Amino acid sequence: MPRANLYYEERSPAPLEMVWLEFRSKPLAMAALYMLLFITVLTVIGPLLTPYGANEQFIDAISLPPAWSESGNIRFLLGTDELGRDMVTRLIYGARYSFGLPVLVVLIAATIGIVLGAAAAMTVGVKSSTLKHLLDVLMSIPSLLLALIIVAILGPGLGNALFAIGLVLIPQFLHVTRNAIHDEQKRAYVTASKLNGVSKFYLLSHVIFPNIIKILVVQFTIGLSVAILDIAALGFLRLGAQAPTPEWGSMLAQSLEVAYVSPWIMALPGLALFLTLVSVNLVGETLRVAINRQLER
Amino acid sequence: MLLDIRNLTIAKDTPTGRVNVLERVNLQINEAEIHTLVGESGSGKSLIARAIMGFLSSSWHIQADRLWFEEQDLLNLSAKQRREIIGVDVAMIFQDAKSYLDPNLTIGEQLQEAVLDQDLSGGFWNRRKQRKERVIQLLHRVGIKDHSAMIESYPHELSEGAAQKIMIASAIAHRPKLLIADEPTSTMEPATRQQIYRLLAQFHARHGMSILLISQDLGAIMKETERLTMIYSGQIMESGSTRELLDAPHHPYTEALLNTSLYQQAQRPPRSRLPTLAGTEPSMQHLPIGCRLGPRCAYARPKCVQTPDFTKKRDRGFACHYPLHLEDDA
Amino acid sequence: MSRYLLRQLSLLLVTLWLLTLLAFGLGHWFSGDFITNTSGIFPEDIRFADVAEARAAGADVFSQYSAYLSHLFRGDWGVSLLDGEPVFEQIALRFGATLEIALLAFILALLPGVPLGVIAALYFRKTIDHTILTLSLSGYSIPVFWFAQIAILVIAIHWGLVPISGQINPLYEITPRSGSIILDIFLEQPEHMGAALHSAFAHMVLPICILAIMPMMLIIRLMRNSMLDVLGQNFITSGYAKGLSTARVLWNHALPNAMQQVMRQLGTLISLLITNTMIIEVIFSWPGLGSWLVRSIYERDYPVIQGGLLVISALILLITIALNIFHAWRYPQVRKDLYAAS
Repeated sequence: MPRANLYYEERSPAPLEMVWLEFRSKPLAMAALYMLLFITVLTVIGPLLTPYGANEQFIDAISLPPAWSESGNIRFLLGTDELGRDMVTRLIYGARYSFGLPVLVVLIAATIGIVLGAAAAMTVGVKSSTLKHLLDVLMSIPSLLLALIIVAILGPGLGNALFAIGLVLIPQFLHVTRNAIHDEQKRAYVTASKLNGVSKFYLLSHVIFPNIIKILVVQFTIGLSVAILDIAALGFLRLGAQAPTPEWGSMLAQSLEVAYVSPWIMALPGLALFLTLVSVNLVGETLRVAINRQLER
Repeated sequence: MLLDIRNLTIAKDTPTGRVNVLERVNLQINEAEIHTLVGESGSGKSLIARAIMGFLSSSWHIQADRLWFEEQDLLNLSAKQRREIIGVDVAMIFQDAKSYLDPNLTIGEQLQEAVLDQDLSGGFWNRRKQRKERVIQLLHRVGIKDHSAMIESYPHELSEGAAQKIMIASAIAHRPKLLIADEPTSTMEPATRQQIYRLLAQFHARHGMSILLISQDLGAIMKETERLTMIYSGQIMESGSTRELLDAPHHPYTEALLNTSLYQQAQRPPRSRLPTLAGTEPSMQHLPIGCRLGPRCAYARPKCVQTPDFTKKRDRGFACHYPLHLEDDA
Repeated sequence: MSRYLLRQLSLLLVTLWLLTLLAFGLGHWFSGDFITNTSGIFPEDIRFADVAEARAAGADVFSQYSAYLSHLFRGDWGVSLLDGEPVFEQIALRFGATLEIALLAFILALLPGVPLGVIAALYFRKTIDHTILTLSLSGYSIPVFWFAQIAILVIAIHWGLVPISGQINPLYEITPRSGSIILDIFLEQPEHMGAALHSAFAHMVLPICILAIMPMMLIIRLMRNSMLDVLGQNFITSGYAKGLSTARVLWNHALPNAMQQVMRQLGTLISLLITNTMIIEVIFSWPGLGSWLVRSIYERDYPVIQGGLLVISALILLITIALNIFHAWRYPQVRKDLYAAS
């Protein structure tokens, strides 16, 4: 039996609940969340779902348009490319390269960056504002340019591109973490905890960290968006993933020669990339709004 | 009558339904009168001021039998007409004055904005110079002698007291008939507060400007104030001339406030119990029905669950079923 | 202010110095011979011995670095490994081409971006706001290289409205002087100047429009957020209390303050613009720095990589510092915060 609400209880929703409410109130944000979930599932179990192998070629079905056009074939729902490979299969496999790997890279970069950032913020010597200003200025160099340089040293290839992006993202996480902790250290509640005599580690992990985790989550979505776009861009410039790898960026680069004859080969990987980026950005933006709204209270 | 408010009710939609944040508020201000509105924070004092100025967004629902300024019904005017009246004849100064100054403009530029076009004469080539002269004049009037330094300053370079003086200068530039001062001194030291009050009293005396002063506590009101209105939790409790009201409060709330004032405490024998209102002020979601002071009132009786009417007796008004200090009248 | 200026300038010097260190280090980190990597002269070349001596081949790292610096300041940035063209002169030529489309795209992004952001903020949480916000978020997520290809396919090939790539129809025989095609046409004064200009504009319009999209979407969001922030400030209320009209409050108080916040985040915008310019240049075969750098990475043309990196990064650093200085000069209250922090 539901309890009758005799008295109106003023209840503020828990922080996570508030984020959820913010998502619920926006249909587009919900759609983005489901989309992201869908892409994640594809990334994890994708190869179990695909009918063919990623590089399996069908000589009898070269450059077949999607199934709904007149000359399409239902065996190949989104058609085939110029070498007779199934587009659906390649796109699903591509999710691993263009979404799964960036997530991993950003996770690793975030872990390293946050640990270093926390260490830098908690040590007294590195507090100088000069270093902050220096980092601020150096941070203005675009990530893709830095990644290009690293790839130039190491040579083209997916592994090197991933390494480069990871390396570029670490300072960003470091910087954000350090600044967030610094800002938080000026707050009265941190001073109060210090006066209570808590240890430095406790101060960091139990007092400051819960309050900056929101900032880090938002930074994570920003980093993820950057990583996805940059890895695809490197693939497109033929400096990242190399040809037969079904990475969306390099698929796009491969399709350029046949783009006029069979435009779907070019349109589909880009569309996949676009949907992924929109979802990540929308979820990130909604999180940011929800968190800002919490801060307002 | 300069300002005449009758039964002003302002409501806001909350998850539990519409709540009357202000309930049937009556407030009258005469020409050339200093009127002080006293209430705790959250009692809706600022809301009244903002309703007069027309600052409330559409999420507030305003209803009133009368919201008259100089016999004109403000509620029936268009936003533009209303701004023309309010912009010229009513001015407002605020608590935390610094944040009401644009950080990117110099004081001079901001004051020039407040100068009315009709105060300038001659062609446009003269106007710039005239505006500047008028600004200097305004600065002198609020007691700032070093006008050239002040004109060039930015708000972040000012102290809170100086910023408030600038706000006053900008407010009096229109020679308003009514100045609403929303807790203008609550973040200031007592000496600065006295300066600001003296300034306000001067303008009142010289130009016959009415002042509606909004204050949190009875101890910090201007000594020139002629009339007092007490507000509690969105309801007007009592109003009347300062002297009579403080001498013989009709409403238990006024009495309670008086009892907790510093002066009264000094009269009390040591170690005696401080007479305060029981409990805390209600939150917006839990407003009691009837007289909102009811649950905390020492004299409350069953009848208090009905909202008492605002009774007028000669110069005074009160909203209580069982008023105090009325024996000699009866 | 002079103290702040000094600090920013020394910051610029330090970062530029770090950059030369990086470029110098690259010469060692790249595979192959250090002298060849920095000068572009192969060991088989008869000039190699002279060059090796001038660049302190056998000596320690410090004398190598000082030799590298002196070459750098003399404008001797080596030659390309591919075609033997001097790197420094190539950079001077391509710089103009890059700046041309980047600047035009930036202006194109600013013009609708600022008003749209303001409108979204004024109609906060209304339908217009939601529409603009959704559009700007999805526009921000379009991969620029994909969108450019689709635009080429539809507009340039299918409809044949504009040329596919390049700066101008080669028939006009414009000798590149500044790199910026419009400037070059005026310098050259060819016979059919009108037609040449028309051709140049037709080549330019597609890359610039595509390049402008992402920055525009970012500007909309930055503008909306800062405008919302400013509109909630107290001095907006006091503006109304003074009896100012809505238009004057917006124009005199809200906009300047919102622009200040946007200025602060302009660095993100510049880096986005530069990144996309590089990609767009590759796609449209625009003879700028970006396409040149990407090609050199692909071809392992090390002197070009070093030079290109140095110039692009230095440009970004210069813009960032210039923005910082401008910001502090234009908005005095910022300087106070800066001093308080230091």
